[in-house]
Amino acid sequence: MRPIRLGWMYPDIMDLYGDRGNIQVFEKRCEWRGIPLEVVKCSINDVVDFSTIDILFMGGGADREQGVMYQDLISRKEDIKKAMDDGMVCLLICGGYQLFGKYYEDADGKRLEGLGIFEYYTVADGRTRSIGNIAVECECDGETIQVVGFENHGGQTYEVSKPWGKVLFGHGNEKNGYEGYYDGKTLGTYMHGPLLPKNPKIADHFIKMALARQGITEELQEINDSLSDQAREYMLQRLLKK
Amino acid sequence: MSKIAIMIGKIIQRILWMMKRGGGTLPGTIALKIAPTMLRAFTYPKEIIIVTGTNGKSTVTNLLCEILEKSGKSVICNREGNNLKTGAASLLLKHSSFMGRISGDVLLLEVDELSVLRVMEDVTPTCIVINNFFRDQLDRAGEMENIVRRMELCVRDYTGKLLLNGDDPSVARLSLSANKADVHYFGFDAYEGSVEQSKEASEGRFCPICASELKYVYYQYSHIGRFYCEKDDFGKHSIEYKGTVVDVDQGIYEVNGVPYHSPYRALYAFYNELGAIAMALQLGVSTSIIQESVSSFAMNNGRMEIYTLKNGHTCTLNLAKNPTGQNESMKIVARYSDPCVVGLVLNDLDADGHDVSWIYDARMELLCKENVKRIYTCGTRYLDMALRMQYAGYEGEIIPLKDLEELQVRLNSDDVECFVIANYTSLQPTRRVLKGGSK
Repeated sequence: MRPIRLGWMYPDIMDLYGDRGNIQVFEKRCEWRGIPLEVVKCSINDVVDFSTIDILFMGGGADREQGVMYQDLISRKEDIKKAMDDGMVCLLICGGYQLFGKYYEDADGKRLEGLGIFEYYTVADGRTRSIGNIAVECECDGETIQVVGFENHGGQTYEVSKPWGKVLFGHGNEKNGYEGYYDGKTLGTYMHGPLLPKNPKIADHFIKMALARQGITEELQEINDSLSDQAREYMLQRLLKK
Repeated sequence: MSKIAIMIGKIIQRILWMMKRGGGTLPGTIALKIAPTMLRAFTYPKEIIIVTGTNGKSTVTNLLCEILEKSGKSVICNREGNNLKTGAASLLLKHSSFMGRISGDVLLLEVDELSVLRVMEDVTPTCIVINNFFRDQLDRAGEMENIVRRMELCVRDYTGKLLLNGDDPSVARLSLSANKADVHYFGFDAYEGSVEQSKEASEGRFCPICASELKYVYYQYSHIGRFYCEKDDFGKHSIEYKGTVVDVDQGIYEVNGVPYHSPYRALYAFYNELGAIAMALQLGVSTSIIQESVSSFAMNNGRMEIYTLKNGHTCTLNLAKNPTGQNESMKIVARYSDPCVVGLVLNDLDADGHDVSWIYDARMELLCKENVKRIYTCGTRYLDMALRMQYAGYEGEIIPLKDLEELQVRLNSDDVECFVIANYTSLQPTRRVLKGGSK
């Protein structure tokens, strides 16, 4: 088995709200199972061959700092697109999610073109801000599951052709009852928290997809997730008053 | 209207006092509802000092208050840390005449970094001390950039003294907007704990003038350190109040050659003290009074507060409400080499911010040491903290405790030293519980 290669976009810039915790979850869950994993950091001007990346991760950043990496990201558009066509899967949080869409329009009507890989687009009206705990029901490996996280975004994302899940509590894409984008290969979501520690099935889903690229399709070794499960259930109880 | 609001506020305060309810921030809250600009109607002392920033505000304020009092001044100060506008209003109501004349030589206010703009709409300080800006309660504050921008608005027309931590780029940046102010910097030289590369979540990495990445000669902790821009003048200011660490473990450092003996054993604490020292020196207080105040200073309010448990071991409690505070608290544990246990208390009430993701920005891995035998987690998000320690790769026992009282029982049954780190709203309940379990 060759190592899974996890590409981490702009770890020094797109690292708001504990998103780096997602990387740690990939690392630990692979380590606990003896699956080799290599984290490849990609920041401004770094030379990275995306054709060798299995999972691409990008988190959210502060506006000012997002502006600093924008040109660099746009310059990698074709490489990223090609790698995705060849089977690279992506986990995109917040700013990362937005930038893979068509564009981001700020409160002054100024448009920042995205990578345009997906059709959805984001508009910030400067008044609405979706902040708070969020619970979502989604499909994961043929199973309906409930996930929890924390959202904090000014932009509302429209025309998401394939929403990831139904909002049980919180706001989601555009307060229309849906959250995120998922097409079987790319998951874009507003869920910080970070997402993966309390929702390990999502992490395992990505690990499985990465292994499948190498033709490895057997079930993953079980991990004792009782702390994750308790922490998630506790928040679900609180939010949904079950 | 404002004068009437002052009178009404004072009457409410009297009534609450007679009902033995203390009063808290309620009189100020009500009076500000009646007259939002009430703070303009007071007659202020000659010196009005505002202390703000993310971490260490209370320490700077309390130490400065002691120094000024020792120097013979009468000081009106919100020592208990009611640092929102309503807290300031209540304090002023308490210490003013019915006509709004404030007694005292100096008004010393700790002000929450998000409230400074609102306070300064009505009160014009003569001195401002700013210690640092860190990531803190992001869902409440918005990104740190917003806080700095608000502060820039505060200082734009400000003409008083502005004491800035010259080792924090986000604080030093304010000098670019404060064109009319009398700016002075404080900071520390490199010491044995300084590093050339930083692993800690850092903010303000880019030059506010040209947006290129800042260079560092050394980092002290988080993004605090000697920084400069290669392309322009940013970071080339000279440090007027320069601290030099003599011995961290003994709590000894010098400021411009004058030795100080701190009750604390960590650089972040020395920075807090330096802010107060620099301000006091600016106000002409003699160094001997400052030295004496620093060495006898005790916050006893969950800032490196020490309890002797019933089992005879000591328990050190420290407040940490953001990644930088957490990291600095954990470094104290990390320097300890004998067997110990650690308690981590995490609440997510309104005043804490509902977003606890910052525990993943903190380097909880610092606690992954063999001598840390057990970690207890408490507070409303005790399970999240336990899970965080699992993903940090902590190999000892992780024990989530729903009930805070249980923490004290467990710590007493462990026959070792202990360290407890609690966040904002969990600090006082934790203090009560530890006090109950102490000799």
